[in-house]
Amino acid sequence: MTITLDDIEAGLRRVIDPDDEVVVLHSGIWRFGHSVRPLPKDFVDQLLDRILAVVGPDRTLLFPAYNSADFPRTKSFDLVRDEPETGALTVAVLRRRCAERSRQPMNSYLVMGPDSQTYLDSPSTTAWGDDSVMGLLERAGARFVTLGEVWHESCSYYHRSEEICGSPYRYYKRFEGDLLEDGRVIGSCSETFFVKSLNVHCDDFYAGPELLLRERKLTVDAGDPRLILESARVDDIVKVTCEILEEDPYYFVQNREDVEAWVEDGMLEEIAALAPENQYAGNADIIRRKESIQELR
Amino acid sequence: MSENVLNEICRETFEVDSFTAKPQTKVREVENWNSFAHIQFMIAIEEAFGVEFSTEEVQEVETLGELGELINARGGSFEWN
Repeated sequence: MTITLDDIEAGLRRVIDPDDEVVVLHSGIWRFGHSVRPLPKDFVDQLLDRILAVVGPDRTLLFPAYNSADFPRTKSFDLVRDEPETGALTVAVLRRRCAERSRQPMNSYLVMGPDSQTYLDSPSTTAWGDDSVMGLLERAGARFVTLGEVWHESCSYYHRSEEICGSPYRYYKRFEGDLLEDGRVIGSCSETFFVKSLNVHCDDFYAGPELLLRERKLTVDAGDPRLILESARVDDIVKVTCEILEEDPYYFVQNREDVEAWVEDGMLEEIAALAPENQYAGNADIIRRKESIQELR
Repeated sequence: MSENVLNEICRETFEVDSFTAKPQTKVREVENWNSFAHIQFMIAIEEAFGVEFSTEEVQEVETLGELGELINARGGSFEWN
Protein backbone atom coordinates (compact mmCIF):
# COMPACT_ATOMS: atom_id res chain seq x y z
CA MET A 1 0.00 0.00 0.00
CA THR A 2 1.91 3.01 -1.18
CA ILE A 3 1.10 6.65 -0.59
CA THR A 4 1.97 9.53 -2.88
CA LEU A 5 2.26 13.26 -2.29
CA ASP A 6 -0.92 13.66 -4.36
CA ASP A 7 -2.77 11.38 -1.90
CA ILE A 8 -1.58 13.46 1.03
CA GLU A 9 -2.54 16.72 -0.64
CA ALA A 10 -6.00 15.37 -1.47
CA GLY A 11 -6.42 14.24 2.14
CA LEU A 12 -5.39 17.62 3.50
CA ARG A 13 -7.99 19.29 1.30
CA ARG A 14 -10.63 17.01 2.82
CA VAL A 15 -9.75 17.63 6.47
CA ILE A 16 -9.37 21.42 6.26
CA ASP A 17 -12.72 23.18 6.08
CA PRO A 18 -13.09 26.08 3.62
CA ASP A 19 -14.18 28.26 6.55
CA ASP A 20 -11.12 27.52 8.69
CA GLU A 21 -9.07 30.64 9.28
CA VAL A 22 -6.37 29.13 11.47
CA VAL A 23 -4.76 25.72 10.99
CA VAL A 24 -2.32 24.05 13.39
CA LEU A 25 -0.64 21.06 11.82
CA HIS A 26 1.03 18.29 13.81
CA SER A 27 2.81 15.61 11.83
CA GLY A 28 4.62 12.31 12.15
CA ILE A 29 6.29 11.52 8.84
CA TRP A 30 7.98 8.79 10.85
CA ARG A 31 4.67 6.90 10.92
CA PHE A 32 3.91 6.82 7.20
CA GLY A 33 7.09 7.73 5.31
CA HIS A 34 7.93 4.10 4.68
CA SER A 35 4.78 3.78 2.55
CA VAL A 36 5.51 6.82 0.40
CA ARG A 37 6.69 5.93 -3.09
CA PRO A 38 8.60 7.42 -4.67
CA LEU A 39 10.38 8.86 -1.63
CA PRO A 40 12.63 11.61 -2.99
CA LYS A 41 15.46 12.98 -0.85
CA ASP A 42 13.63 16.29 -0.63
CA PHE A 43 10.31 14.67 0.26
CA VAL A 44 9.88 16.75 3.41
CA ASP A 45 10.30 19.99 1.46
CA GLN A 46 7.93 18.79 -1.22
CA LEU A 47 5.40 17.89 1.46
CA LEU A 48 5.76 21.34 2.98
CA ASP A 49 5.12 22.91 -0.44
CA ARG A 50 1.92 20.87 -0.74
CA ILE A 51 0.77 21.89 2.74
CA LEU A 52 1.41 25.56 2.00
CA ALA A 53 -0.52 25.22 -1.27
CA VAL A 54 -3.53 23.67 0.49
CA VAL A 55 -3.58 26.12 3.39
CA GLY A 56 -2.93 29.11 1.12
CA PRO A 57 -1.83 32.63 2.02
CA ASP A 58 -5.15 33.75 3.51
CA ARG A 59 -5.07 31.43 6.50
CA THR A 60 -2.81 31.51 9.51
CA LEU A 61 -0.76 28.32 9.79
CA LEU A 62 1.07 27.08 12.85
CA PHE A 63 3.41 24.16 13.41
CA PRO A 64 4.28 23.04 16.95
CA ALA A 65 8.03 23.52 17.44
CA TYR A 66 8.28 22.12 20.94
CA ASN A 67 11.51 21.27 22.61
CA SER A 68 10.84 20.53 26.24
CA ALA A 69 13.93 18.54 27.06
CA ASP A 70 16.80 20.96 26.60
CA PHE A 71 15.81 24.31 28.07
CA PRO A 72 15.62 23.34 31.76
CA ARG A 73 19.20 22.07 31.45
CA THR A 74 20.80 24.59 29.08
CA LYS A 75 18.79 27.63 30.20
CA SER A 76 19.05 28.99 26.69
CA PHE A 77 16.66 28.94 23.75
CA ASP A 78 17.82 29.83 20.24
CA LEU A 79 14.95 30.72 17.94
CA VAL A 80 16.95 29.71 14.88
CA ARG A 81 19.37 27.00 15.96
CA ASP A 82 17.36 24.95 18.46
CA GLU A 83 15.63 22.31 16.40
CA PRO A 84 12.16 21.23 17.49
CA GLU A 85 11.48 17.72 18.73
CA THR A 86 8.25 17.69 16.77
CA GLY A 87 9.56 16.01 13.65
CA ALA A 88 11.22 16.49 10.31
CA LEU A 89 8.47 18.68 8.87
CA THR A 90 8.80 21.29 11.61
CA VAL A 91 12.57 21.24 11.22
CA ALA A 92 12.08 21.90 7.49
CA VAL A 93 9.82 24.88 8.27
CA LEU A 94 12.45 26.26 10.64
CA ARG A 95 15.28 25.79 8.14
CA ARG A 96 13.34 27.35 5.28
CA ARG A 97 12.74 30.40 7.46
CA CYS A 98 9.28 30.80 6.04
CA ALA A 99 7.66 31.21 9.45
CA GLU A 100 8.37 33.14 12.63
CA ARG A 101 8.96 31.29 15.84
CA SER A 102 7.14 32.25 19.00
CA ARG A 103 9.34 32.90 22.01
CA GLN A 104 8.20 30.24 24.42
CA PRO A 105 11.38 28.22 25.00
CA MET A 106 9.69 24.84 25.39
CA ASN A 107 6.30 25.02 23.68
CA SER A 108 7.08 27.39 20.81
CA TYR A 109 5.21 27.47 17.51
CA LEU A 110 6.30 28.33 13.99
CA VAL A 111 3.70 30.71 12.65
CA MET A 112 2.91 32.18 9.24
CA GLY A 113 -0.02 34.00 7.66
CA PRO A 114 -2.22 37.00 8.26
CA ASP A 115 -2.82 36.61 11.99
CA SER A 116 0.71 35.54 12.91
CA GLN A 117 1.38 38.47 15.18
CA THR A 118 -1.48 37.55 17.50
CA TYR A 119 0.24 34.26 18.27
CA LEU A 120 3.78 35.65 18.31
CA ASP A 121 2.66 38.29 20.82
CA SER A 122 0.84 35.90 23.13
CA PRO A 123 1.82 36.70 26.74
CA SER A 124 1.78 32.97 27.61
CA THR A 125 1.70 33.53 31.35
CA THR A 126 1.61 29.75 31.54
CA ALA A 127 2.32 27.33 28.69
CA TRP A 128 -1.28 26.11 28.33
CA GLY A 129 -3.20 28.97 29.95
CA ASP A 130 -5.83 31.34 28.62
CA ASP A 131 -3.30 33.78 27.13
CA SER A 132 -1.01 31.08 25.72
CA VAL A 133 -0.82 30.11 22.05
CA MET A 134 -2.99 27.11 22.92
CA GLY A 135 -5.53 29.37 24.58
CA LEU A 136 -5.57 31.61 21.52
CA LEU A 137 -5.97 28.63 19.21
CA GLU A 138 -8.92 27.49 21.29
CA ARG A 139 -10.57 30.90 21.14
CA ALA A 140 -10.00 31.15 17.40
CA GLY A 141 -11.60 27.75 16.80
CA ALA A 142 -8.39 26.74 15.01
CA ARG A 143 -8.33 23.53 13.01
CA PHE A 144 -6.01 20.91 14.53
CA VAL A 145 -4.71 18.53 11.85
CA THR A 146 -2.82 15.37 12.64
CA LEU A 147 -0.88 14.08 9.65
CA GLY A 148 0.45 10.59 10.12
CA GLU A 149 0.60 10.66 13.89
CA VAL A 150 -1.82 9.00 16.30
CA TRP A 151 -3.85 11.42 18.41
CA HIS A 152 -2.36 10.50 21.77
CA GLU A 153 1.12 11.26 20.42
CA SER A 154 0.26 14.43 18.52
CA CYS A 155 -2.61 16.20 20.25
CA SER A 156 -1.07 18.42 22.91
CA TYR A 157 -4.32 20.33 23.43
CA TYR A 158 -5.39 17.79 26.05
CA HIS A 159 -2.90 19.57 28.32
CA ARG A 160 -4.84 22.79 27.90
CA SER A 161 -7.83 21.00 29.39
CA GLU A 162 -5.69 19.65 32.21
CA GLU A 163 -4.74 23.19 33.11
CA ILE A 164 -8.31 24.50 32.80
CA CYS A 165 -9.58 21.69 35.02
CA GLY A 166 -6.71 22.05 37.49
CA SER A 167 -5.61 18.43 37.21
CA PRO A 168 -4.76 17.43 40.78
CA TYR A 169 -1.51 15.67 39.86
CA ARG A 170 0.07 18.81 38.40
CA TYR A 171 1.54 22.00 39.80
CA TYR A 172 3.30 25.01 38.30
CA LYS A 173 7.01 25.19 37.64
CA ARG A 174 8.72 28.13 36.05
CA PHE A 175 11.80 27.85 33.82
CA GLU A 176 13.85 30.83 32.72
CA GLY A 177 16.94 31.48 30.64
CA ASP A 178 18.47 33.40 27.75
CA LEU A 179 16.74 34.01 24.44
CA LEU A 180 19.07 33.76 21.45
CA GLU A 181 18.73 34.42 17.76
CA ASP A 182 21.24 32.50 15.67
CA GLY A 183 23.77 32.40 18.49
CA ARG A 184 23.32 35.99 19.68
CA VAL A 185 21.66 36.73 23.01
CA ILE A 186 18.70 39.03 22.39
CA GLY A 187 17.04 38.91 25.79
CA SER A 188 15.58 36.54 28.28
CA CYS A 189 12.71 34.10 28.09
CA SER A 190 10.71 31.94 30.43
CA GLU A 191 7.91 29.44 30.43
CA THR A 192 5.72 28.18 33.23
CA PHE A 193 4.53 24.63 32.90
CA PHE A 194 1.78 22.78 34.70
CA VAL A 195 4.06 19.86 35.50
CA LYS A 196 3.75 16.38 36.94
CA SER A 197 5.86 15.04 39.79
CA LEU A 198 9.58 14.60 39.31
CA ASN A 199 9.70 12.10 42.16
CA VAL A 200 6.78 9.83 41.34
CA HIS A 201 6.50 8.68 37.76
CA CYS A 202 3.08 9.40 36.30
CA ASP A 203 2.29 6.75 33.73
CA ASP A 204 -0.10 8.65 31.50
CA PHE A 205 -1.86 7.67 28.32
CA TYR A 206 -3.69 10.37 26.44
CA ALA A 207 -6.19 8.24 24.59
CA GLY A 208 -9.93 8.66 24.81
CA PRO A 209 -10.95 12.19 23.85
CA GLU A 210 -10.58 11.44 20.15
CA LEU A 211 -13.08 8.58 20.50
CA LEU A 212 -15.64 10.91 22.03
CA LEU A 213 -14.88 13.53 19.39
CA ARG A 214 -15.50 10.95 16.68
CA GLU A 215 -18.67 9.73 18.36
CA ARG A 216 -19.99 13.29 18.34
CA LYS A 217 -18.92 13.71 14.73
CA LEU A 218 -16.53 16.51 15.63
CA THR A 219 -13.63 15.05 13.67
CA VAL A 220 -13.02 15.04 9.94
CA ASP A 221 -11.22 12.02 8.53
CA ALA A 222 -9.48 12.13 5.16
CA GLY A 223 -10.95 8.66 4.62
CA ASP A 224 -7.71 7.16 3.36
CA PRO A 225 -7.02 3.85 5.13
CA ARG A 226 -3.31 4.09 4.29
CA LEU A 227 -2.74 7.19 6.35
CA ILE A 228 -3.78 8.79 9.62
CA LEU A 229 -5.04 12.17 8.50
CA GLU A 230 -7.73 13.68 10.69
CA SER A 231 -8.76 17.03 12.05
CA ALA A 232 -10.91 18.66 14.71
CA ARG A 233 -11.39 22.17 16.05
CA VAL A 234 -9.16 22.96 19.01
CA ASP A 235 -12.12 24.38 20.97
CA ASP A 236 -14.00 21.09 20.52
CA ILE A 237 -10.94 19.10 21.62
CA VAL A 238 -10.54 21.22 24.74
CA LYS A 239 -14.27 21.12 25.59
CA VAL A 240 -14.62 17.36 25.19
CA THR A 241 -11.42 16.72 27.17
CA CYS A 242 -12.63 19.00 29.97
CA GLU A 243 -15.88 17.01 30.12
CA ILE A 244 -13.86 13.82 30.55
CA LEU A 245 -11.62 15.34 33.22
CA GLU A 246 -14.54 16.82 35.13
CA GLU A 247 -15.96 13.35 35.43
CA ASP A 248 -12.62 11.76 36.30
CA PRO A 249 -9.64 14.06 37.00
CA TYR A 250 -7.28 11.06 36.84
CA TYR A 251 -8.64 9.79 33.52
CA PHE A 252 -5.25 9.93 31.76
CA VAL A 253 -3.27 8.44 34.65
CA GLN A 254 -2.60 4.70 34.45
CA ASN A 255 -0.91 4.27 37.85
CA ARG A 256 -3.62 6.15 39.70
CA GLU A 257 -2.92 4.75 43.16
CA ASP A 258 0.73 5.79 43.17
CA VAL A 259 -0.04 9.23 41.85
CA GLU A 260 -2.97 9.80 44.19
CA ALA A 261 -0.75 8.83 47.12
CA TRP A 262 1.85 11.37 46.02
CA VAL A 263 -0.81 14.07 45.59
CA GLU A 264 -1.96 13.30 49.11
CA ASP A 265 1.40 13.06 50.83
CA GLY A 266 4.22 14.34 48.64
CA MET A 267 3.02 17.17 46.44
CA LEU A 268 3.26 20.05 48.91
CA GLU A 269 6.74 18.96 49.88
CA GLU A 270 7.80 18.83 46.23
CA ILE A 271 6.44 22.32 45.58
CA ALA A 272 8.17 23.66 48.70
CA ALA A 273 11.47 22.14 47.52
CA LEU A 274 11.42 24.00 44.19
CA ALA A 275 14.44 26.20 43.59
CA PRO A 276 13.56 29.92 43.83
CA GLU A 277 13.80 30.37 40.04
CA ASN A 278 11.30 27.54 39.54
CA GLN A 279 8.70 28.92 41.94
CA TYR A 280 5.49 30.31 40.50
CA ALA A 281 2.85 32.35 42.29
CA GLY A 282 0.05 30.22 40.83
CA ASN A 283 1.04 27.40 43.16
CA ALA A 284 -0.30 29.40 46.11
CA ASP A 285 -3.89 28.43 45.16
CA ILE A 286 -2.91 24.76 44.87
CA ILE A 287 -1.21 24.89 48.27
CA ARG A 288 -4.17 26.69 49.92
CA ARG A 289 -6.62 24.19 48.46
CA LYS A 290 -4.60 21.23 49.66
CA GLU A 291 -4.04 22.68 53.12
CA SER A 292 -7.73 23.38 53.60
CA ILE A 293 -8.55 19.78 52.61
CA GLN A 294 -5.99 18.56 55.16
CA GLU A 295 -7.50 20.80 57.85
CA LEU A 296 -10.97 19.43 57.16
CA ARG A 297 -9.62 15.97 57.86
CA MET B 1 30.25 -8.37 3.49
CA SER B 2 26.89 -7.56 5.14
CA GLU B 3 28.62 -5.15 7.47
CA ASN B 4 30.29 -3.35 4.59
CA VAL B 5 26.92 -2.83 2.93
CA LEU B 6 25.45 -1.61 6.21
CA ASN B 7 28.36 0.77 6.77
CA GLU B 8 28.02 2.17 3.27
CA ILE B 9 24.27 2.73 3.64
CA CYS B 10 24.79 4.44 6.99
CA ARG B 11 27.48 6.69 5.54
CA GLU B 12 25.29 7.69 2.61
CA THR B 13 21.99 8.07 4.44
CA PHE B 14 23.23 9.86 7.52
CA GLU B 15 25.89 11.76 5.58
CA VAL B 16 28.77 10.80 7.87
CA ASP B 17 32.38 10.44 6.71
CA SER B 18 33.08 7.19 8.47
CA PHE B 19 30.90 4.61 10.14
CA THR B 20 31.57 1.23 11.70
CA ALA B 21 28.46 -0.80 12.42
CA LYS B 22 28.22 -2.76 15.66
CA PRO B 23 25.27 -4.92 16.78
CA GLN B 24 24.71 -2.79 19.87
CA THR B 25 24.71 0.52 17.97
CA LYS B 26 21.38 2.26 18.40
CA VAL B 27 20.07 3.56 15.10
CA ARG B 28 18.77 6.73 16.74
CA GLU B 29 22.22 7.47 18.11
CA VAL B 30 23.91 7.51 14.71
CA GLU B 31 25.14 11.02 13.94
CA ASN B 32 22.66 13.09 11.89
CA TRP B 33 19.83 10.67 12.63
CA ASN B 34 16.36 12.11 12.23
CA SER B 35 13.01 10.51 11.64
CA PHE B 36 13.08 11.02 7.89
CA ALA B 37 16.67 9.79 7.52
CA HIS B 38 15.59 6.70 9.47
CA ILE B 39 12.95 5.92 6.86
CA GLN B 40 15.42 6.49 4.02
CA PHE B 41 17.86 4.21 5.80
CA MET B 42 15.32 1.41 6.19
CA ILE B 43 14.24 1.66 2.55
CA ALA B 44 17.90 1.50 1.45
CA ILE B 45 18.34 -1.61 3.62
CA GLU B 46 15.26 -3.22 2.04
CA GLU B 47 16.63 -2.57 -1.44
CA ALA B 48 20.16 -3.73 -0.65
CA PHE B 49 19.12 -6.97 1.05
CA GLY B 50 16.06 -7.71 -1.08
CA VAL B 51 13.62 -7.72 1.84
CA GLU B 52 10.45 -5.88 2.80
CA PHE B 53 9.62 -4.55 6.26
CA SER B 54 6.25 -3.56 7.64
CA THR B 55 5.68 0.01 8.77
CA GLU B 56 5.69 -1.19 12.39
CA GLU B 57 9.04 -2.95 11.91
CA VAL B 58 10.51 0.21 10.42
CA GLN B 59 9.45 2.13 13.53
CA GLU B 60 10.42 -0.51 16.06
CA VAL B 61 14.01 -1.34 15.06
CA GLU B 62 16.29 0.03 17.76
CA THR B 63 19.74 -1.48 17.26
CA LEU B 64 21.73 -2.61 14.24
CA GLY B 65 21.80 -6.08 15.83
CA GLU B 66 18.01 -6.18 15.75
CA LEU B 67 18.10 -4.94 12.18
CA GLY B 68 20.40 -7.81 11.16
CA GLU B 69 18.01 -10.30 12.76
CA LEU B 70 15.06 -8.68 11.03
CA ILE B 71 16.76 -8.90 7.63
CA ASN B 72 17.31 -12.62 8.19
CA ALA B 73 13.75 -13.12 9.44
CA ARG B 74 12.45 -11.53 6.25
CA GLY B 75 14.42 -13.91 4.05
CA GLY B 76 17.52 -11.84 3.50
CA SER B 77 21.03 -12.77 4.49
CA PHE B 78 22.89 -10.75 7.09
CA GLU B 79 25.97 -11.85 9.01
CA TRP B 80 28.26 -10.02 11.38
CA ASN B 81 31.95 -10.61 10.68
